[in-house]
Amino acid sequence: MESLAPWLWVAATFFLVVVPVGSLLWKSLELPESGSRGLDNYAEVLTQGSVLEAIFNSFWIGTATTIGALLIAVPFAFLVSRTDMPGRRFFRSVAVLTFAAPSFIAAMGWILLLGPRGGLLNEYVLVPLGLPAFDIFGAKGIILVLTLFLYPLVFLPVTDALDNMDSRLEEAAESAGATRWHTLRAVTLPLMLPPIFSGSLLVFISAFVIFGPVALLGGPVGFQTIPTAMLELMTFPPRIEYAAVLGLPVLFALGVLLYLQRKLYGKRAYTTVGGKPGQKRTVELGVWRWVAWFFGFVVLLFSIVLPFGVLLLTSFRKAVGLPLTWDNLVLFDNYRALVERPAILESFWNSLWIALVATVASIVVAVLAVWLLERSRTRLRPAIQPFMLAPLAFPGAILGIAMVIAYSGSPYWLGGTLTIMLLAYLIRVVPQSFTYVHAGFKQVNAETEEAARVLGASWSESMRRVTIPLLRGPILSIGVLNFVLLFRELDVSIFLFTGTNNVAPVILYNLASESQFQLMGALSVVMLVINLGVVLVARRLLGVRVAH
Amino acid sequence: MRRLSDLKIEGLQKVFGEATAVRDLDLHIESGESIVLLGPSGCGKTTTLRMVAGFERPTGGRITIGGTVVAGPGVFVPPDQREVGVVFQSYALWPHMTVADNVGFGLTVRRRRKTLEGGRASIAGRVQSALEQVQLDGLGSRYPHELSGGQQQRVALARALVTEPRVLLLDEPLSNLDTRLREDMRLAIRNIQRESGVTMIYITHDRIEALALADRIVALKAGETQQIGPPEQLYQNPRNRFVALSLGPANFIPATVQSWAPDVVVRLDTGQVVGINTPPGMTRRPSEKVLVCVRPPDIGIERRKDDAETAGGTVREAVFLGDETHYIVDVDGLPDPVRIVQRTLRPMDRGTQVTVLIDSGVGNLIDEPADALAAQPPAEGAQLSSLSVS
Ligand SMILES: Nc1ncnc2c1ncn2[C@@H]1O[C@H](COP(=O)(O)OP(=O)(O)OP(=O)(O)O)[C@@H](O)[C@H]1O
Ligand SMILES: [Mg+2]
Repeated sequence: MESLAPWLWVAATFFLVVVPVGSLLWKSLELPESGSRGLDNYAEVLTQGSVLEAIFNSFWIGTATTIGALLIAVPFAFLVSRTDMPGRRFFRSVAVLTFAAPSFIAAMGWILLLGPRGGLLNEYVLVPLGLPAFDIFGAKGIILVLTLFLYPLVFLPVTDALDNMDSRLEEAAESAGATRWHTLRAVTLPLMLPPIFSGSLLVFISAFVIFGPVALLGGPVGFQTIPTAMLELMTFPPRIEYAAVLGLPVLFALGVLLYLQRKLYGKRAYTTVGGKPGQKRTVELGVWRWVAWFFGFVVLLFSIVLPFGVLLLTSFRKAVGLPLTWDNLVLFDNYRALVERPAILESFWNSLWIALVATVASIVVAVLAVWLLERSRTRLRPAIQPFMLAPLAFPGAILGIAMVIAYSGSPYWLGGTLTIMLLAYLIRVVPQSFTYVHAGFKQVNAETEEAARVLGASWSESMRRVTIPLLRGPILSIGVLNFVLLFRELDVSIFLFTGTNNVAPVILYNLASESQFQLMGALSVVMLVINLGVVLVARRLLGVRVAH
Repeated sequence: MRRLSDLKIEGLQKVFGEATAVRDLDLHIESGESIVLLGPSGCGKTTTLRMVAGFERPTGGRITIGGTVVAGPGVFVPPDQREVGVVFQSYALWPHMTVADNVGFGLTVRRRRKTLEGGRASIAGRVQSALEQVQLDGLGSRYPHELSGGQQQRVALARALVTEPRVLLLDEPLSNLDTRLREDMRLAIRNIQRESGVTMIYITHDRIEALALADRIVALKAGETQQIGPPEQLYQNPRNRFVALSLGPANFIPATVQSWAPDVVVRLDTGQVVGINTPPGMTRRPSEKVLVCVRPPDIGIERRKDDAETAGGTVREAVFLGDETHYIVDVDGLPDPVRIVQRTLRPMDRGTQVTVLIDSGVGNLIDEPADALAAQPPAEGAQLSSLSVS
């Protein structure tokens, strides 16, 4: 078993990383007309006006969202960490909660709120007040939704850094004669730059390649970014080699950006920024604290309460066109309709089990990789981390294309199966599983394993009875995180979906594109409840862990 | 029913990249013998032990346990098949298992492999008696973090012993304990080792532990064996300054050989002419300069009388420690001050003129050139307090 481990890892990496990336590259060079290979596809695609426009759109959506996220996240982080703003703790946990809810579901909520026809906020708030109605479709709607969904990527690390920053650094500046503002500019901000930078980079990358909200909010008005353009290239008429061409530069650019981010700030992300925590100094805001509270309240309202509240409400409506009165609300009809549709029920079970299997499989791969990296003497060791983190550079759409190219045809013939979906899910979560398990593994003393070995346990028995139980904490937390993420995974699924492999997020997306809003609301609510339930139950169960 | 459990180490070597951690170690340990590897930090003790346990592969040489080669050219037996027991410095108890599960782990592994008969009850019984052996009866259902350091240490010991290993390896097992507990555990380990008759390799850099626990001590320095022998031999007849200082404070007095056979007689630089012991196999010609090792308690000291023929000196420091008094004395004709330990009720004051006496037979010739003295700083204890012999 022990001597097999490196080979198992090599095989897993081959299928999870090498084959998809290699196929993507190979396909992009394929010239179907002449049957040969060359760079002609690149010339072809990169001179198409619509493609160039999609690339440009991706860039500016990414940039605008990053600016928006910074404008919310940085002041919010400062208020929550360094002032006496009321409800600080509550606002913090709200930001974490945003992650459990998928952005495309939020986008659906916003369609119901600010759609040009029948949007509730337009109809009941803006128009009665004499204000112009807001049209959520198009670039500004996309930026609004993405900003509200992605700001935690900056907020959380910045809050963390502010929490851990030693106020004595600031006091030192002040005692040297600096004013408050000057201190903020000269000391506090520079120390905040690393988390701000890496958070912004993540926001940019996510916005650059996100599929769901762009497709839902941009699709109806013909606004495209890279992932939606790729989907179109694949469907109408299928020019998969063009899609591959579009994917490669993105993959390369993201790879470089992520590498830079890890190189520059990755290591420092989790260390304290100079000194012991707990020396925090809070700014007293006086009356302004209520202004601060209002700011937090608005963020909460717009990021969670409104979009998800409206979905809940819609799930009880008879029809979206009818006025909002008690008579037009029903309790169960929409939920019953979900159960009555076999495709929806089936997609639910499919999503549940493939998310579960992919979660477990990713943990197995991660444990194997981490063990090889930390404990073995294999010459593969320098390759392990880069390969396990490589999938970070394939965002959903590109992974989707790569999977279609690599596995749907010969010799695997996995097109339209749940297996290909499962494999893609697995690839998506391998990097984060690896990172979590690795961090946990560093806490486990090698001697605890050696003690088992020397008492007669084989490699596998020592893994099973000692190493894995000691990693229980990180394994369970990453397991929950993976499951929650995969259960609502749309960006890859949409590329692999053919009608024969139903999964819940794709069904939900299709309900939205078919404007079946009540069903969409009901299904969204069910999915959110399941995810939230998993998180809460896990927290309860994780609470009872053996103290070390 | 004692199994064959002698351990033979031949030409053992371990190189990490550039650094050689263990160099050409030869050691034959009899069945039931207790060996202590003694040496300063980084001298390769842990590496040696890890090679015996099977956690590291030697880069050269051979290890044989009970007649079976477990590591050597083309042979490597993994740790789970070596039947050795290890007590780690960190204890390496499993925090997610109770004390009884920790101790019983090796037995359950064997039962699963069908190399152990008997059911759960018989395992529980053996765990119980192992816990009794280390005086932990009744604590089997606790978790390791609910035990004190000394108790954790005992669990680690019981866990290593319960499978009746052929060889027991202990890597500085007492270094995390306080002094009192250390003494108790030292005795307990020695008793358990004697009773069970297990072959033992014990690592330490504490000379008291080495002296108390060893049938033979292996003194190591920078990966190389300096001397192997029973504690008394290493204490009384150290081969070099390093070994002498590893086992306690010592004085190194330059001398000149007067005659070699039949008895070795030297003239110390203090002027005294004395007979001394020599390590086997060593020869020196008359009038050659040599170094003589003398332990502090073997040197006499008394107030100087005017007619004294022996070496004179001045007390530089005197510390009364109850049982004994420690002196540092500047002696005429010697480059370094001499350490002396005496049982005296009334210690002499600093500055007292004294006579220093070294009897025939207490000194021991060191296999090192006399000019080595100036080259090396005193390895141990520039302060007086380190003179104390506990
Ligand atoms: N895995 C390793 N890689 C490289 N060098 C190592 C490794 N393990 C040990 N060494 C080196 O080998 C030498 C011997 O180390 P070893 O751990 O055996 O010392 P030790 O005698 O047990 O010391 P201590 O008393 O501090 O435990 C040291 O110089 C150490 O740096
Ligand atoms: Mg050591």
